[in-house]
Amino acid sequence: MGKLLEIKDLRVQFETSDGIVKALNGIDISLDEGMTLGLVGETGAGKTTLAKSIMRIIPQPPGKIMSGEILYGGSDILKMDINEIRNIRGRHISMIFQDPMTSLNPVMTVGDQIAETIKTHEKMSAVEATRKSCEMLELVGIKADRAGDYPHQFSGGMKQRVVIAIALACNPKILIADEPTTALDVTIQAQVLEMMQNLKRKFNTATILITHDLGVVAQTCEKAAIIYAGEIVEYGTVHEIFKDMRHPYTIGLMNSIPKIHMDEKRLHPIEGLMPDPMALPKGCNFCDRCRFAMERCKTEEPSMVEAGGEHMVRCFRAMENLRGGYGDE
Amino acid sequence: MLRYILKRFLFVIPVLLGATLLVFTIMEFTPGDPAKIILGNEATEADIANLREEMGLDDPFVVRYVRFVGNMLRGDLGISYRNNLDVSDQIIQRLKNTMILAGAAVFIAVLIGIPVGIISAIKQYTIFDNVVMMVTLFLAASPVFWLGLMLVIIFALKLGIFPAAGMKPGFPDMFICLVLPAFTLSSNTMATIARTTRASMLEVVRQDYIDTARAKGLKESTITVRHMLKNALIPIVTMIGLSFGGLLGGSVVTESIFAWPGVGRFVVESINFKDTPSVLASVVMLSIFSTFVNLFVDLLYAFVDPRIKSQYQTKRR
Repeated sequence: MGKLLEIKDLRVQFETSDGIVKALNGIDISLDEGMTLGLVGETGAGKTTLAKSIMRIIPQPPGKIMSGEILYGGSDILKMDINEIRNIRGRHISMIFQDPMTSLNPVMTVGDQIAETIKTHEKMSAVEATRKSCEMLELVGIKADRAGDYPHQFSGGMKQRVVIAIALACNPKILIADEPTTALDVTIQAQVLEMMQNLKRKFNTATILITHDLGVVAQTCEKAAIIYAGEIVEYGTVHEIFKDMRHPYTIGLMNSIPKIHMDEKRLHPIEGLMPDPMALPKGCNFCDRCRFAMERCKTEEPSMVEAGGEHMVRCFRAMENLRGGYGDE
Repeated sequence: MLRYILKRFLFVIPVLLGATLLVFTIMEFTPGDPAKIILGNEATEADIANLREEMGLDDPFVVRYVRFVGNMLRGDLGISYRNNLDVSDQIIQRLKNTMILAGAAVFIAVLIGIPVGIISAIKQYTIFDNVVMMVTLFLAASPVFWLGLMLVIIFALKLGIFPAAGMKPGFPDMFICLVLPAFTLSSNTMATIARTTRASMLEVVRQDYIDTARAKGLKESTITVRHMLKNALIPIVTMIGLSFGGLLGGSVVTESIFAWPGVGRFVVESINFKDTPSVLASVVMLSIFSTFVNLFVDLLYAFVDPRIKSQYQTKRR
């Protein structure tokens, strides 16, 4: 399986009047055909910035891509001219946004919004495009006769289905789903995720699933990347990450999930907050919150360490059994 | 939808009663006796008393107002004190002229205001944007009478491109005569439309559905028109509707400056003559006109925003 998308040393920052916000600080990641990659991290870690960088829809200014490459089929998305990137968007790489309430145009019928993508990329008459948009609606479980309705006539879950229909309308190679279920209630979340899984299998679409829900990653992804303060701190197959997590942040995340088989009185959060992206610490970004931090962590930046297979960890103590230090399981 | 329109038509009634009562009262307090004005300086006291009796001017205020309303409902707006002609006939032609002027002003304001506002929003903080913001602030702040006179001085007296005043019938003449008064009248509205468009566009630019549209691979121009402008239009339409009342008010001044034979100028002349029936009739006509415009704007909402349209529809599936 060839590499479909390869991101190398991507650095993005936002230049605001208050200072420079370092959103992404050297992201390396790749995506194979048909694969699902989970991108996990807390709010503000840079997940959405990464997604928008791939689509190149970061508002510039204030956003600025400092360095790096995003290779799609061998050519660098960051170096493409506007027409080339427009051809990629929607046709080769699609995106689903976080909040279905606001990601549809309120004054256009949903049918038109789906047909618009089709008409942009495929040589089709208006009638054919409309017919195909109805097919897409049926595919995501909405009756085709609702194509003439406006977004405000749909519920949140239905809107997200429409957004998915738009994203998949031109059968893209890559789908970037930015927290597609965060804004939905739990029962609808499960439905939407299952539907996405099925469509993904049907079209063999590679997916980048951005989420802060480790459970979702375990269910749907093959690979996972844990992102913290604009850096990937742990990367590997889902099996490697869940069975053999090595980064203190990943361990902390996992411990913060309440366990149903244990009688827990208190939740276990990771103490503290993510560092201010305007003033990142000199050493490891996580060291202020890390219970395993050493002197070295405060002054030196750790680099990615291989931990067997595809498993990579950004920690000086990656080879020690840190997880045992929590004393549970 | 139809029921809604009918309901809105009925709104004309309270508007008319309110407006005429106000004007009737104000005219009552202005000095001067219509009978004296009609008969001229040579009239004897007895003649004046007779005429007052004949015109019913000695009746109490309420009786006269009720009589006026009764006549109005029968479509009789009275006879002018000035020339004894039927008031309605005199106003119809003038109303047409005012509509031409106001229509041209709105047209200019929309045609210039909206594109300028869009470009300003897309090129926010550039030189273009800053210049537009300054010019529109200036236009919005300058009074109509001053601006009108300045335009006359520059374009009519100094440059001699356009006539200073008056109106000639026929296609090219009418058009040339219209330029200065229409620009004068539209200046405020144009500036406000440009600023509202800019503000409204800037709000829409950051919406998530614009990212969605971009992620579809659409052309930037398509995104601007189909996705941004269509959403930004709602406050702009509101603004245009609201400014129409001001436009009719401004037409009184503009028509006086440019000797445009419209209702506005007619009102001013009639007030000077204490020609109460003419003033009242003008107010009635302008009220009806502006109610219609407001109704039209409200119906335009439904066209612009489907969320409003579904409120009008009584039958939902």
